[in-house]
Amino acid sequence: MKKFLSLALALAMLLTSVSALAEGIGGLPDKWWEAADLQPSETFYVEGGMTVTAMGVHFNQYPTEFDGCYYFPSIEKLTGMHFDIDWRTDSDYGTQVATTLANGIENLPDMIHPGGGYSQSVLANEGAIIALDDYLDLIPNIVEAVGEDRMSNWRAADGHIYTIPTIVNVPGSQTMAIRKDWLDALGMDMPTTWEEWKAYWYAVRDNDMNGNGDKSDEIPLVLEMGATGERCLHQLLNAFGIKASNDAQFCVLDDGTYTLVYEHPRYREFLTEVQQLYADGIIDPEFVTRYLAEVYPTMSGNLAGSEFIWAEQQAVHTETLNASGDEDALYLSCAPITGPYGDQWIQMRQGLTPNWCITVKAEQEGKVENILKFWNWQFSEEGRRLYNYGLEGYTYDIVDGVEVLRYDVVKNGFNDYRTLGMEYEPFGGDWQNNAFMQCVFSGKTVDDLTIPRKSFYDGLNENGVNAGHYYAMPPTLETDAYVEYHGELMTGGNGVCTLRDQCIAGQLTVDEFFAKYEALKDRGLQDVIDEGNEAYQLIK
Amino acid sequence: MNTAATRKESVLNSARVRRRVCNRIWRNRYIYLMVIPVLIYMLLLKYLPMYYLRAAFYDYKLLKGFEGSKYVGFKWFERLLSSPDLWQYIRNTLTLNLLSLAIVFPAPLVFAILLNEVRSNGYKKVVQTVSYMPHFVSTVVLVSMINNICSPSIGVLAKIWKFMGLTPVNWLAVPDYFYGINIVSGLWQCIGWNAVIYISAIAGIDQSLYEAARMDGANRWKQILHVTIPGIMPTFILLLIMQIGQLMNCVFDKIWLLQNTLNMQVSEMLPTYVYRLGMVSQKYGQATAGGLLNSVISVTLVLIANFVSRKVSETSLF
Repeated sequence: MKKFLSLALALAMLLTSVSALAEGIGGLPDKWWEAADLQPSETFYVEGGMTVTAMGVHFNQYPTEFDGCYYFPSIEKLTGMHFDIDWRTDSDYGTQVATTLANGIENLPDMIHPGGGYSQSVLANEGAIIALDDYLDLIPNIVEAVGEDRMSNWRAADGHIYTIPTIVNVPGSQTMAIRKDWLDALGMDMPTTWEEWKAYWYAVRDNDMNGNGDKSDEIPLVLEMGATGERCLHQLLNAFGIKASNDAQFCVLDDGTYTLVYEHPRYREFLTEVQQLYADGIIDPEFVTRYLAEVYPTMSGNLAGSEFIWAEQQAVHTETLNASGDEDALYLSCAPITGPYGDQWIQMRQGLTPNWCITVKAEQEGKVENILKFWNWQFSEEGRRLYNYGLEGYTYDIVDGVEVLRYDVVKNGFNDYRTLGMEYEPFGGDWQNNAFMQCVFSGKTVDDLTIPRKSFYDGLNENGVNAGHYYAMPPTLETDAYVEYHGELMTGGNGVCTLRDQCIAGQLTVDEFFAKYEALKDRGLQDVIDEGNEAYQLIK
Repeated sequence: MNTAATRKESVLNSARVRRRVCNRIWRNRYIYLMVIPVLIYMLLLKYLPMYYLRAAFYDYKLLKGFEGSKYVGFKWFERLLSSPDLWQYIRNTLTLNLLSLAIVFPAPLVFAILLNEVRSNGYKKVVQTVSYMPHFVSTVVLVSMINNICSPSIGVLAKIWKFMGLTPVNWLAVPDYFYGINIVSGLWQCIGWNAVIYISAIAGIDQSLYEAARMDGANRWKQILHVTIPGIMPTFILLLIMQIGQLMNCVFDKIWLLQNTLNMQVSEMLPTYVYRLGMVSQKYGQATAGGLLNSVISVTLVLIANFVSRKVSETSLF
């Protein structure tokens, strides 16, 4: 009997292993795409093929190897274009670009991703990339996808277009999140006015909300410092009616003037109020050092009362807290903070991101036309389907004329979808709302979603809690003066961002901040303002 | 005749010298072989880059090189020297380094002397090993440890403060604590390692001097004062001169990682400023000018220290 049981067990294990090997991610076998019958595209195909070299930043869980997913082999079969991409990490990417540039034009790749301080303006200034203005007739699909409204975001400050963009047609993906269970425990309703928000924050500060016996460890408003310490305050700026750029440095005044946020008539009031909130222990004491990765532990550690965060994260951390025994814990997406004057805004997701620049080397080798034609194909119906949905019959099906991702692909949200190589964002394309939402729903309907997952949906859905509050961010225009002075006068040791943080922390008075700011204007910041406005009026 | 004989003799002499030098090199060929990597390192990474100091006079573009970059003369030096920030950054650099020179630099000397007085060899070895282990902790790890200790929300210090009924302090956001944190962490990390050189110097002191001192009735304190300290003073002075040459530098990665906007008034130093100009803002010309300025000041400081030391103690580098 024992022998029989052992044999049965061994057989069961063997069968499980074999089936696990046979069916990989998304229920698909290894190298599943090789079986697909892909014929050369009728709209674009390079006879004899062409290899394009590139250097870019890789992120998320997409495969890095050319043959590691369906995407690049399929592109090659469909268009004849072979991409040889040298993927780099985001960390210290600027130094890596510098090293590449220092090796001379002959060692440049055909396409390069701007980043790490080497923005498109800096690369253009170096003479490393070409302007695409004269080639727009080769990329009508991209021009159409960008649209008139986003044209100013596509153009650089000098009015030229230098990049192949990535487009994300999703209204937003970040949201304010609040502890609903803490609100309930305090007997409060969801805050809708500035005074109500403050009442909630002060109550969180004064009570032992997480019940650990320590009344002082709750952080009423957790703030992320942002990539360069510049944008951690945009949600509060928005509450004061200052519709700031992505880096929280620029805004457009009511009269249409593009300027630094510090010039906004409400900035003094904003600074005074935020300084008080910091002094009162409402604002995160570590707001200048808290990277996004350090925001998460405050959420899962039962410390955060409210925060501005990726919509998915409030669901993830609710689930974490629930799993750890705090079954009542619940973060909910909520409408943006309402300011003292009733302003309630949230930045619309930057729908257009500069992605690839074409180098002078590609121009010297006569590759520009085919590269651009390829990207035009990438933004065509055929290219969009490949990018968003993979291969028909394997990862999606057409149901009533609409692409429907298979359940196994989206059952784990974005995870398997991206691991399979779909929406390969480091490479870029046009990510469509339909594909995005299918991942959010993980093959379910709204009614099937759990409360945290429903809240995730509410945080980013165009009809959700943020509906009617989105605003299109003004661009950060990298004029000559911006490139010249940004490092010193804006983010440097005595730059305006540093002074702003010191003022919030009470190291400077508001008057001292403005006095120092005026001095910085005399040293070159005024040129940043003037050139920025001039460029904005030119490109808008 | 005499002249011809002298010339011949001179030629013979120089041939003999050459042969002797060659023989000596051959005899010590393995030692010379060991020097080659160091020479290559110095040439490649210390001397060759000096060619690029020219960038200080150009609006230097990496891709275009010197040929394609615009010559701007002393523009970057003028901008640096006229910037009100520069003097603040120099002051910050000097303040931290002078504090370090006063506290961190002599600490290994004291530690070595104390260790030398420990009679139990086993205990001495344990202390020595434990004390120089932190040297092998990477700066990134060290800074993570500092962050974890100093964090007002999750830090150990915050917990102690709360236990004592005090409000936790965001130590890294208060400029007044920045130098203290640096000094204490610097002491922890380098006291044991830097003491090794003094321990070996103490070991080299002639033991008969101690015996003579004991015969003259010197107690242990007096032996330290009159034998040990004078015995290691030349080593101390050589290290001091070299340390003075580092007054305008800093442990770059540690300062860079500990910096935040709330301590920037004291934490932005000349090397971090130069890095920010060059590697963050891609202003290579201005950054090179800043680096060159820093080097000139450092060399001047070394020369002054060397001169003073030669006059005062007859010990000097050159």
